[in-house]
Amino acid sequence: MQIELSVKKKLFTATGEFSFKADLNIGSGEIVAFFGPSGVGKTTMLRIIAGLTDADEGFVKVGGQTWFDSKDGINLPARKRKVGFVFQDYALFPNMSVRENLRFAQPRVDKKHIDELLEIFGLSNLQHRKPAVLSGGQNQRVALARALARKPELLLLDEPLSALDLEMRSTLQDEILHIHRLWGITTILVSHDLPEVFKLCNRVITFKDGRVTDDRNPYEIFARNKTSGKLQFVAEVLKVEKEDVVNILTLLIGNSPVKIAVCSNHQESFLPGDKALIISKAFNPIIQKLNSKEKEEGGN
Amino acid sequence: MNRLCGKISHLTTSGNMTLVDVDVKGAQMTAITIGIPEKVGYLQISKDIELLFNESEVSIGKLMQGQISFINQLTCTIDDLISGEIFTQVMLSFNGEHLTSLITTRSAESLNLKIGDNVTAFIKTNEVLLKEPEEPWNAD
Repeated sequence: MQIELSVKKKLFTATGEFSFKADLNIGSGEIVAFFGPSGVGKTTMLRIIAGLTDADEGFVKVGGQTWFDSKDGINLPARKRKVGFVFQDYALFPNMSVRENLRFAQPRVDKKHIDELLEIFGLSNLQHRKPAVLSGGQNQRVALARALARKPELLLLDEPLSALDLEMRSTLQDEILHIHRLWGITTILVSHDLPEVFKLCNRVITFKDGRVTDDRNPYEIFARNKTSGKLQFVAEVLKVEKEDVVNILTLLIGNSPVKIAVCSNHQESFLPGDKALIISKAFNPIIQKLNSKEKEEGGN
Repeated sequence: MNRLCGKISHLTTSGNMTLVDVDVKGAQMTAITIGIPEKVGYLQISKDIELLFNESEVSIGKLMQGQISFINQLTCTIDDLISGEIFTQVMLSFNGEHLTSLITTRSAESLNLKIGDNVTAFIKTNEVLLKEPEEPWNAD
């Protein structure tokens, strides 16, 4: 569903009071990232859309339907807004099993949909367990499945994966992409993780001091410039080792650690934890075919 | 990474590819890119452009005679040499611009490279990356 909104709100934070103002239009089926430092109103924005916090002024429309309008006094209660919300700390009901957590989220019980979600997230075997006996990754899967159990029109993800280890994060990112391809639910992701933003989103909205400061695709925002390099990967620096007169950087690209040699006079010095853009020209890569189409088709 | 700044002096387009000539402090450098001026904003005559290429893509010739296929040939002076067991960094300069070549120490020794030597730096056209000069960073 398309989201149109124009909202204003006074926020009180540790550093004082500031006013938050945003006008946004998010197309149906988009996955958009909200990016920016802590305390700039990204979470508040999600809460305003979900109806958990009221804006001081403005409107929120989803799929053409008004959910909030300060002028007309319209304010659809949170439970009536078709929103799936996932928080960093899962917020599951500890006294309910996995299955009961999902069922509780549904306004009308849809057993088939619950079975489908348990299957997609690999939770079928764990459906009668309680959250306390599950791992962090499993609990976050339950939280995602629960958010989807009510067949939401919007999926709001507030740093859902930031507490998980790298591998688990990557697996859940794949699952988020999978369900997005499956159902095309308009999704907003709050994230501080650049590789995650690059992997999941094709639009990034950055916030600073209560205002939208940028709204473009991640390469335009984070690559800072345009180069003629056709292959671009975002990587995280894991290790820097000096060998001979070169530095060997161990980089994490997607899920795979890769070693790259960099001349040690490189103007920029790299430290573990740095994010980097790897660029290669269209002419550099050596390409080898892995399959033979003729053989697959049974030809000669 | 080597970074040289220059101005685009000539563009030769064929199909979707463009050969881009750049004037770098009076020396001509050439890069090739898949992209044409109509679609790529920075491909314009007299536009400022940066040329990026890895140190390991810079070959070195000394007392060169005969012909060689490299279009990019820069007459340089060796400012410094940093030798490791396998690799040697050759610090070069021409017309006040600096670049580095990373070659095997075996090559550096067989060429008997010394500080102050005049050499030719060769860079393959398809190893040169074009970059639009940086815009102010405004997305933190």
